[in-house]
Amino acid sequence: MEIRTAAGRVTAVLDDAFGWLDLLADRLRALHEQSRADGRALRAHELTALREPVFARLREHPKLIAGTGVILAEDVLADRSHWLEWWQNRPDGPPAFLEVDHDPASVGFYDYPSAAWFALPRKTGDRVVVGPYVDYSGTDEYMLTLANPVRCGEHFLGVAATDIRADAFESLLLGAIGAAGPPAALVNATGRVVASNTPQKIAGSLVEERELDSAWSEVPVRDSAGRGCAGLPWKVSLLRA
Amino acid sequence: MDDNGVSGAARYAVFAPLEDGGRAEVVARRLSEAIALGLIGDGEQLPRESDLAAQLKVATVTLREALSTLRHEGLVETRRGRGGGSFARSPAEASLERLRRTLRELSVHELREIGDQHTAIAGTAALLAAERAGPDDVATLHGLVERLESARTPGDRRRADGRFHIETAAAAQSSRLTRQEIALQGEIGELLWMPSGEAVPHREAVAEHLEILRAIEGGQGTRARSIVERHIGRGVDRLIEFHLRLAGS
Repeated sequence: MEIRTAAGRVTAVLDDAFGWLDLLADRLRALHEQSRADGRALRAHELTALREPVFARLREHPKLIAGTGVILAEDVLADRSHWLEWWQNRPDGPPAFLEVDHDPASVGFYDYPSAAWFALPRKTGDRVVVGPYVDYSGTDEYMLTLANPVRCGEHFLGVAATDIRADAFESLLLGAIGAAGPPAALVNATGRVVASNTPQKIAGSLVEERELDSAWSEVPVRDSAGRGCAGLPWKVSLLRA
Repeated sequence: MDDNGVSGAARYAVFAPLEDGGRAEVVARRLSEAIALGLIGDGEQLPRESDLAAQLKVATVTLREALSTLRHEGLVETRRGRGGGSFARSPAEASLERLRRTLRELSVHELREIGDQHTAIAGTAALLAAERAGPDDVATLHGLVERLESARTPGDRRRADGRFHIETAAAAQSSRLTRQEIALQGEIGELLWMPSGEAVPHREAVAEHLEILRAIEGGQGTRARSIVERHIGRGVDRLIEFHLRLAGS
């Protein structure tokens, strides 16, 4: 059944992304522990140690992954209370460092502490999938953000996160169901369409339960590691004609 | 971003070559807007005079004249000696004199153009937000209406007002409308919230935002659009009135 194939592919993408975030979280934790062993706090420039694995990850998935990196809690770095070590894939050329507005008094201030992908992992300790949404003060793209909390004991250091282009899921869905197949949609936990194969319900629109074809069972998409993850399960479902 | 640098996109816009003759007033206005909008942060060092003049494609003497104007307005501070140079000074509140001058220099035609574009962008964003906003978006917008209500200074009011329209475009799930809304807020936001010269009085602005939000929340797209159109139209009409007043004085 094609919708099962589509759900399987989406699950594989999410699992792979969370696997990467575990690795990135470990790296940040190790840097923090090293600096504590030296009796001091990390400084922003020391996060350059994360660049090599981050660049490798971006190179592996030039289309799927828009960016990845770590975002720090306010009491972690010695010289910055608001900081991201974040790199973005560019169509041609090397990765670009994400420059954001760190000034809380500015209209364009990048207020990440209140963003769901930062606030939820901090509060619950769970990982999270947010989106699709317009990331206007960060990356300016239509995006999904996956984030893992990074803790050292009880101390919340921040999140390891990655942005996945919303468009990427459309290809996964079309690859399994095709544009000529029955109208189907990948829907997130809040009822927003992540991708579809029909103009009837395009990405970003909201879908209600009654619009889904209940004659066909929907297929859930969940984090296969079975750990807590806010924002999942998604589902792939056929739409009513 | 380096330790005290300007962000990439902002640097591009702020320090791009001037195409309109390179007069000192034009240079000063570009830089003062950038400082007032926070594109160049408080205390940030500007590039060296010769470099900055080359980037803007103006004569060094023109740049010096512009920097002297900005120093006079308290928007730039110059320190001599080692580690010296020109540093941006962000005013706690926008300088009334500077805003008045900006408004005087804009023509009625330009103001109407900005208003037409803003009506198109914000109106469509509200229409689509009524179809696409989720509970999180609605909660964010409620927070911003409350923030506008409790904002006391012109700067805080302007930020809360701007963020409301930007978040509405984001709730419409449109990157393009959001980018255009941000650009428009940069262009007109400060003018709408001139200290003691609010284009739409604070209390009415709060009431109108709430009315827009209720229409979005209720899924009434056409209604949301028409309220936004009226709201923005009023603001621009008032700015045109201010402009005529300043130009005629």
